[in-house]
Amino acid sequence: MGSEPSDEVYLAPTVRTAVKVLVLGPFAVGKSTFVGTLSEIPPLYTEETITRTGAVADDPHGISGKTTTTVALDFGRRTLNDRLVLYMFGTPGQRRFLSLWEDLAYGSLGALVLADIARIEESFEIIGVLEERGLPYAVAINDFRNAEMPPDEELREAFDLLPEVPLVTCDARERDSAARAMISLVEHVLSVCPQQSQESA
Amino acid sequence: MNTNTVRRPELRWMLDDVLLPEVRSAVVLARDGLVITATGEIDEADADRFAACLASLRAASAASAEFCTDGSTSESAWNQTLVELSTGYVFLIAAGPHAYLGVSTTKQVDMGPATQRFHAVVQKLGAELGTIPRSGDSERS
Repeated sequence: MGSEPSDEVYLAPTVRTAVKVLVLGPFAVGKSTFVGTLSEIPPLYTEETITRTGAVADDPHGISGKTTTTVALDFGRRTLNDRLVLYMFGTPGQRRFLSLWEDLAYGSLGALVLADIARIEESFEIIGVLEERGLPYAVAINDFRNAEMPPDEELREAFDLLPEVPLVTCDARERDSAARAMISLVEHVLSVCPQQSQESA
Repeated sequence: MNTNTVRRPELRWMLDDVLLPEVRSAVVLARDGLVITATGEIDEADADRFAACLASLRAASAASAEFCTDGSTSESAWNQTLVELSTGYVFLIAAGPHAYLGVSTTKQVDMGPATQRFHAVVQKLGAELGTIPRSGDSERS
């Protein structure tokens, strides 16, 4: 064990509640970046170089500089307050990884779906799976290109979101912005399970 | 709110039998990928990362069962995974229906006796963990 535990890296002894959440989204939307930005410990990445075969299967849509992709998971931890610590599991966005995704999702209490405003339709499959499972989720548009955003209502319609599902915009590279997106998910999870939250409070 | 696996440092003694001289560290994790307990050789942040890594290894290993079957696929076909590295080995062994034991060793480890010993620990762990009421074990995910 370390000698001088710093508040940043070590879990406070008061930490009681571990909450596992998923960070999902289509290929090259910024899931690894998001987990890395928010994590208080060095994140665990499982990245592999995109091969020629992969370049055909996973079209990065002109996202320049994308040379690697997550093949297993991204993992990070974030202590939200004295009682609540988030464990973030980011999983690969491509359809062929779905069987892995199902296993890694075990025990998760909610999911943050990262979306790209230019490729909204690529989030549909993930949202569909979450709705089938009844797992609470929030949608965060990763606005890394600083794109012009249509009004909220139009966006919700484009994603076909139920009124209670939070929709936020964030920049996965900015810690505060990423944290706000994650908090919108946590608040949503708390609001859909109010009884249980009182039990563990 | 339903919560996930709670760390149980008081179970650390169960890992005493794992601690061969060649063992770097060991961690017991729940199916959700979170740490139940870990040996003192690994700090808390690294135990969390090791557990997440092992959960992903287990997911991929279990998924590989689909390609090692006579047609009737079953995820429960998975028993253990062994990773060989130039620096040593990582063992990942099922410890009851909802937990796994991960052990990291040096290259010098004697595979036969070590494996036997880890499996004996897993038996004990399985019995102990089977009696622990777990939250976060909901069917929804």
